Amino acid sequence: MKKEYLIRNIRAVLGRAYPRVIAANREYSWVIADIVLPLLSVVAYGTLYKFLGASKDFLGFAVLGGAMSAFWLNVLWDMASQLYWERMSGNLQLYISSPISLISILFGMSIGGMFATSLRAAATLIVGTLIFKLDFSLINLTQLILVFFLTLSSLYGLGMTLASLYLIWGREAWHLSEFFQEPVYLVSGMYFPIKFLGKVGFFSSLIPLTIGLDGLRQVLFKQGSFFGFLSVNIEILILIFLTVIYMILAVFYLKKMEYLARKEGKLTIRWE
Amino acid sequence: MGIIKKFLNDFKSSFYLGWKIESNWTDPFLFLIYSIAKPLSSAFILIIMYIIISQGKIQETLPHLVIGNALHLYTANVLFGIAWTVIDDREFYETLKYVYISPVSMFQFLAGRGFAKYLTTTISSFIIIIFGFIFLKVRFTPVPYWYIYFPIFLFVGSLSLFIIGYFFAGINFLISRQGWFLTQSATGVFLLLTGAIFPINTFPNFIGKIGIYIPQTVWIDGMRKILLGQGWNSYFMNMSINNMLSLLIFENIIYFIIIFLFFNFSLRIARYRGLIDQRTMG
Amino acid sequence: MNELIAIKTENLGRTYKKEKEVIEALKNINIEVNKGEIFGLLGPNGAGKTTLIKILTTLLLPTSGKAYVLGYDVEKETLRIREKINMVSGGEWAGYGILTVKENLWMFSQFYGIPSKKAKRDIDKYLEIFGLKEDANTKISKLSTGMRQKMNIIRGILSDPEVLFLDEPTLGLDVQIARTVRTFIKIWMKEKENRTILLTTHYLNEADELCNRIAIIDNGEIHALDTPQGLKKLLKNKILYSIELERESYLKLKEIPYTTKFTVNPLKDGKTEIKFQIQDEGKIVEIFNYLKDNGFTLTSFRKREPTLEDVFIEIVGKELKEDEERISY
Repeated sequence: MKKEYLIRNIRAVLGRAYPRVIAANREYSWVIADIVLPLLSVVAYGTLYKFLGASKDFLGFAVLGGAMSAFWLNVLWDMASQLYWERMSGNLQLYISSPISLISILFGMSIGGMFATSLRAAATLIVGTLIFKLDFSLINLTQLILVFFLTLSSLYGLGMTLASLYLIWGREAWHLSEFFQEPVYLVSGMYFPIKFLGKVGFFSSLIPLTIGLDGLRQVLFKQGSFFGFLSVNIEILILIFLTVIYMILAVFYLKKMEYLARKEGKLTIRWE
Repeated sequence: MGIIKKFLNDFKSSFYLGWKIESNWTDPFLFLIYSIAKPLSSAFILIIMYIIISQGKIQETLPHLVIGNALHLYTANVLFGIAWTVIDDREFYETLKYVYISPVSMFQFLAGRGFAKYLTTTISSFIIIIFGFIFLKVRFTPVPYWYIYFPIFLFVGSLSLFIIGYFFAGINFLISRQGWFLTQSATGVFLLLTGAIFPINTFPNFIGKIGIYIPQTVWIDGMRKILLGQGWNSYFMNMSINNMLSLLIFENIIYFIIIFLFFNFSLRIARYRGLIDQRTMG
Repeated sequence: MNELIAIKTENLGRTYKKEKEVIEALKNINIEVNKGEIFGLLGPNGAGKTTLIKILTTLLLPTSGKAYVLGYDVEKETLRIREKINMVSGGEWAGYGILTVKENLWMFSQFYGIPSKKAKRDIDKYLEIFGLKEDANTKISKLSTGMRQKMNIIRGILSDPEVLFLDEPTLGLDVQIARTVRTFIKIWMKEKENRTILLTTHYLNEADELCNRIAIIDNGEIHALDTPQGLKKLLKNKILYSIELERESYLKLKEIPYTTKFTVNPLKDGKTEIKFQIQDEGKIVEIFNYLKDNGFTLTSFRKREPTLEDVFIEIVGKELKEDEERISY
């Protein structure tokens, strides 16, 4: 029975990931949107650095930030707000009444989202690199892989937590996403090293992108470690910690959301 | 007289509706925080980048950035606001068809909705400028008679926002919801080409020159000239304010004629193809 | 619990709090649905039908009483229930517009752990049955309401549920598609003995055609529960008449003496149909005279057998209004 349940949930993860992976190739408008928009910001910030006479590594910081911002947008708009939209379309009640854990649905969304967004982030990074003729100097491949995947796991863990919270908080989910979008760009140091924000960096480290981006800059650029916030190994530990915490919170709030949905009968009704 | 009264009445109702949609989703305090947090964050990103890199010449460049950023907010919000109304009202509120068959002209309706966005943006822009003056020591060094030029430039420049907004609204009548990013991308392009956060002559000449033909570039640099005594873009360096005003008005007229024709053409095509009430969600 | 029973409720109740008001959506519901039967819940909008379905499909907790599906408690044994049920609602827009019909169905099948190959085979089979084969690769955002609902029904049966909940499955469908859906439901039930359907509807003819037993529900209470024939027998001592009047008389006609349960239906050809009951058959001549004296022209009259509609009016005290397009059903 347990094995059957596990297999069913794995199938559910793959099933829910499918629309996102497919969407990555099928709807050209989305692909263009996800590449063009971050790229425009990257070009704007990169050109600003150029105008100010900054070193090439700073241009690289901005390009990397712009590429990683695709993940933040994906987490905000396609993870945090997603259960809300699923409710509106009537999918949520089908998910709840299916013989699987809702976590599998969120996992599926995350995996699909990570895959699709990675392609866009890579495109932004490649085009940005070509435009500004960036020089990368890979310091440590293992650290690079660890930081990148841990950043994604903790970031999508945060997205899974927010997904339930948005639903519990109320109806204007997109306002919350809009509210968070730019301030997080600022406090995560999306376009400049977080070191320059001083102690604010400790608070904004709760958003995995802050630490992740700082770590990636340190292992990818010559000047990266000079402008680094903490040592990369400590950052890896923090990212592991954040992954665990957000996964626990995601499960907790998902259960709470499902309980509230069944108790109050509100969360499966459109427009309530 | 009756026509003007009707115009004002229709404008007032669509403005009121727009204002409610913009502000009524939460209590006034949260709305204020929301209005402050978003623009201040994007302004801060730029300011921090300036502070990190341009240690020595910060006083030369920062005032230009503050004015440019505050005005670019209008471009981003009003353009997107007007264009997004078409998709939002068509597919989310499903009311566009009722507006279309009512005696209110779509032009007026969108103007009212855009104006609501204009006012909420004014709050944000005002906050950025106040912040600049208090914390970043941006100083006013206005040109003589600035108090005459300022409202005129503000008005004519604001008109250009609405005119270009209609262009993207016209496009949105014809495309599905998935095309929302077109306007968003356009505002990104405007950020680059209007010299809001760096002079357009930073780009290679052939790209930078495109900016001259965008009314917002003239508007933003004209406002800089009025409030700070000098502009930022080398293309307008030797141009007097009167000449810049004339250029802005001229560009507005040309844009208006072209966009008015395009907007009406889009509406006709949308009606022909049955797109006024299309639903592309899901 | 008896192994022959698919659904059982014991004094089931559900209240909603709306600001300071407490709304009782369900009051002391006691039903037993046998395995192998199509059980209908008939009632107007807001009667409590969907609330009951939501409780039984584990989407909503009861506030009082108990409910069991296949012997499992809806409050505590949700996973056991979810493995064996499925649901389809009318007017449902579930799925992802970006995916095709086939892809959407495959995705939902995965939530029930159906091996991919089997799922794809079954999807093809059902698409063929429902005449959707040619639209298998159409994105669902391009489907019409009827096609979408056919897809929803396929989604509901793909997991081969033991209990299928159908909440107004033909809502808003045109006559032909509604007929296809009803025919399929009957065939599907005959395929396996132990399948059970709980169907809510406010279409009387649908309930009459499909259901083995029907519960009439209004204001959260079950008012009657029997087979369609059994329900009609409740009116065996009543004398029922239907008359047709010339032109659109329904605006003028407010009452007819000696009649009860008097209903007026404007017909499409401009005539007016009046249905009523009388206690004393001898009064029918006086009724005709009354209509003549008041300027109404009688074009036909007939004594008729009771329908579910009469039963509904008798029990609930009001008509169960049907949609305009369903009059010619």
